Amino acid sequence: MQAAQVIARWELRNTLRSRWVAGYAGAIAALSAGLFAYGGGMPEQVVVSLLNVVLLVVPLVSLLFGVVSVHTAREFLELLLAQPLRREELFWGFVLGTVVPVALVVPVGLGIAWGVAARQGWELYGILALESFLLSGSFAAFGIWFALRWEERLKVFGAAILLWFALSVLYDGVLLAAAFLLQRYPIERALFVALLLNPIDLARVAVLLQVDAAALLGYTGALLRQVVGSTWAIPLVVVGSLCWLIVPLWQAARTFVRKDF
Amino acid sequence: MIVLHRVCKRFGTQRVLEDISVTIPAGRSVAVVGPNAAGKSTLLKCILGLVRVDSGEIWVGGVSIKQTPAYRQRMGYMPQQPRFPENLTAAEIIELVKQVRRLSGAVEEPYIERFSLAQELTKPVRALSGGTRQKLSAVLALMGEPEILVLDEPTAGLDPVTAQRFKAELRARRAAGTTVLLTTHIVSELPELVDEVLVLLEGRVVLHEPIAALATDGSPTALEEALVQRIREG
Repeated sequence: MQAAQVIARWELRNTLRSRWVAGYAGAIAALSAGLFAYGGGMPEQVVVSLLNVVLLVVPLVSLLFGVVSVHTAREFLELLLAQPLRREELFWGFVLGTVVPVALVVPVGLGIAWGVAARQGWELYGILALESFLLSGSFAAFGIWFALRWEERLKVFGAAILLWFALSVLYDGVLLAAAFLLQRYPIERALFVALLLNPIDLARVAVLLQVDAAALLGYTGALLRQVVGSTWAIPLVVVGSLCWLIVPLWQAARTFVRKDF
Repeated sequence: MIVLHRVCKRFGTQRVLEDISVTIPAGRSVAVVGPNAAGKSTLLKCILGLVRVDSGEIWVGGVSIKQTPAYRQRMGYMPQQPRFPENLTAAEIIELVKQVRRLSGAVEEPYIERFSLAQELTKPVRALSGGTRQKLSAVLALMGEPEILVLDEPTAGLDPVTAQRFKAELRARRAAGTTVLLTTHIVSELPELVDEVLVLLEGRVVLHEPIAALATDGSPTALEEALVQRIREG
């Protein structure tokens, strides 16, 4: 995997020099610092406020980043594929160099603000940083997969926006309606599964379990804590989030290895 | 030697390459010509492994390209549209490709000088003109002196002076025994660049002959007329 390391290193350098990534990191750091400044410096309050932004903005930004990174690199990927290296090496080098820095934007931006303004509650920072990393990585991987899967840019962007809208906006509404309409039936197990089927919900529940904000947990989160207990709820959710990173990455890798360029 | 045996490729329902069997002996230079969408670039990409063939076999230097990507160590590729990571400099792009190809030493230096690229090396790619990117692409293909050059419309986008230098380099490579496979729409440059012409039409080889057999007087005009006539005949 020496070629993968070489490609990852250079891709990382390319991504870190991107003004777009710098602007995104700066915006997250400024937002975090602002929330600490006007939120009385209480980490729990800042996290709850920041969580809404993270859950709404990070998936969309990461999805679009994943799509654009493939579209802009397409001809260069062709050139690299003409070199003596395996497709798997190129794919993992490219992914490491592009997805990891973008997934680290929130952990780093928030971490700087946290270190300056809060200096406490690092467990809470840790879970938010971890979940935003996994969430961002997952959606960037979806973006890469879509861009590799379809040639037409309109279709790719359409699929990306649709996925974001479905998981961040539509999903909870549908779930709530289903819970209301089926309230006479034992749907706890189905709702439990429904929680695992949405990476955004998983991130939200993981962070709120750490904050211990029972009122904000929602039905599925409360159910999760009731079923597996407080101790195992967060690890279970983190494993669920990790699966949401692995699945689209695996799909993207499969598509890349079989693709005609 | 490059050997293609009964190679077929479809994109969806569209047949792009149909039953292509071609042998390109080592040290020969071959131009793949034909109208737009004839399958020229796809043919080159199949040889490079960028496009997977549906059926048939391709061997490069006696090794099936399905076995290992190591055969590409012997090949230099110049794509039709060179695009590079926008935030890296030209020098960094060269270094990246050198590391991937495991080339050591200043193998790029002669070509940087030949294509007057020294002044541009420290600039990020986003600041380079299209012509300069094409020169960078030429350096990447030529450095390390690969045994086989695969060039997709190599002179398109180059200024006349650089195009002349590039063609002089190709002539020198031919003389040194490098196998060259290129596509072009500029028929007038064929006599000075290649030994053979392979005409593709709707994915099929309709002609594969030495250039001397097509234009007996060696003039570009005669060659162009002969090619057009063969393409019309299908």
